[in-house]
Amino acid sequence: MIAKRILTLSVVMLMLVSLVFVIGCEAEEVEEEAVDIEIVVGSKEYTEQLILGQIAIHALEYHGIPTVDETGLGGTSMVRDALEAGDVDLYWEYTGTALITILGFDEAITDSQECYEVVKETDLEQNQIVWLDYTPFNNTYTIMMRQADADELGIETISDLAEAINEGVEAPEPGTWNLASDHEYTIRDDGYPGLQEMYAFEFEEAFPMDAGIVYDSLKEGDVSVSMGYATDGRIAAYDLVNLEDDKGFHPVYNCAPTLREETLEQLPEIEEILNPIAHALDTESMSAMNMQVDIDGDLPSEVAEEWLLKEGFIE
Amino acid sequence: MKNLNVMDFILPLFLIAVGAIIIIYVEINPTDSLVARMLSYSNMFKALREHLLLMLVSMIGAIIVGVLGGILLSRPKLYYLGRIVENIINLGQTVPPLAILALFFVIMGIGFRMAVFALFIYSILPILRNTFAGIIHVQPSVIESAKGMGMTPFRILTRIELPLAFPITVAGIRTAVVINVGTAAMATFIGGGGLGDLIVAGISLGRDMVIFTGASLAALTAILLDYIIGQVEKGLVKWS
Repeated sequence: MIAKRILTLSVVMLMLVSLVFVIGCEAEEVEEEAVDIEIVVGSKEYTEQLILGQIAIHALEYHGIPTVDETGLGGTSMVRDALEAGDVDLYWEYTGTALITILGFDEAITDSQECYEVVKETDLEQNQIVWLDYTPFNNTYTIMMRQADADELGIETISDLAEAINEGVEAPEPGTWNLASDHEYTIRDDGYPGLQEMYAFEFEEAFPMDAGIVYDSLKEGDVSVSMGYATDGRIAAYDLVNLEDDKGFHPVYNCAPTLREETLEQLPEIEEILNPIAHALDTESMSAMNMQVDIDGDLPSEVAEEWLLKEGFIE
Repeated sequence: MKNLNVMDFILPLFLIAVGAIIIIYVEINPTDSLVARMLSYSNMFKALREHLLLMLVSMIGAIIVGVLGGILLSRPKLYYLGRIVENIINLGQTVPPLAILALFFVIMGIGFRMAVFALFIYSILPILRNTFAGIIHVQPSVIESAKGMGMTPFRILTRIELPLAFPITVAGIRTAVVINVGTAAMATFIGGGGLGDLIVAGISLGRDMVIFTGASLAALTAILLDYIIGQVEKGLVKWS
């Protein structure tokens, strides 16, 4: 009996020790690889970022620049810190996010070019981070309703919505004019408080929640109105509709690759590779790619490669 | 005796004072206009109130259901059912809090009530398990001798089993409080409000002061609640 126990114990110990070895060896391998010039491509954790990251990886690899895939790291601050610390060499950032969250401005800008210029200049000066050219797609906030409700009530723009709420029109399911939104949106000047001010109306209630579930909340009828991101694939797939921002309230969130100045000095060709790609990324192609991943369940890497092939950036 | 009572109030008063100082300090000295909006008195008190309500409602419900359930399952007639439930609970405890919230979101939607319900379900588990374990581990000889003295099963439960199981039950309740505090901060992901609103908004906007305020208020609440339960435990031991 005791012999059996000792045997079991030693087998377990052996397994543990070998596990440590395996983990140790893997870690060493990674360290050795990182010595060469490789571009570590990072991204935030959501679909659009994963696709953009994969687009950069495929494009750079095609032009013979070795890359390391670190896409899906985490939130804005995590990826950005990694870029500044040198753990990540390149990722796509939004001009609006950089302006408010990273560079600490507290007023948003609603013109794409102006916002880009300010961010590009300030970031290079303060942090030696270079911004390449930005995309035509603008992943800004949008106010959404269910298509059926919007048609029934004749609401097409945010002004229509404000009018309906002010006139006391009965709200669609769940019966109150409430708003699902992510946490940032409920606080920012360019979000919920400013929106209500500019269009002169008030929601009865606002629920801050995870950005990933606002679309489902709206689809399932937990809320009558929701904030969303303009290029999300679920808007079309769930039969939701973007209300037109007729007073041009929401700021701009065009996307551009960002990297440290020294990286670009080492590999200046990155600029020539990624700029034409950024120019080709419009709202339709980005939404379509997001939808392919979110709804059809394709892998970001496949979707990115397919798009690059279709647009003729790789062969 | 009187001295002891004064001592009892020092820690909670200290905690409340620290909380008040933090609230007043950040209200007066916000780093920019966004921070000022997030850390207005109305916003902070709303978050704090929601957080306390989330915790108190779910904890009170969980203590009642957990203790009663534990007693019920420990009756000899339900012994095997009790064993099965205990195993299911042990499995349930391995599910991470965020996953519990996500699961409930899929089934029942969003909002404050939803978050309370999820917290309630999750907090029952340790309380029920500990009450059950405490009671069934009372020495059979003790119960036999109680029976020999002619005690009815109800008297055995209230005079022998519950007092002996009491410390284990309270340990379960304290575990539940700890879990509850951590999970209550996540209620914000399904629109449940609470101090998580501040923490997550602070993280996504990169404003450290907001994160610090939300997190420290949540921590102070947790220490305070744990202290109160400890005092109640002491009081009950003296009383019985």
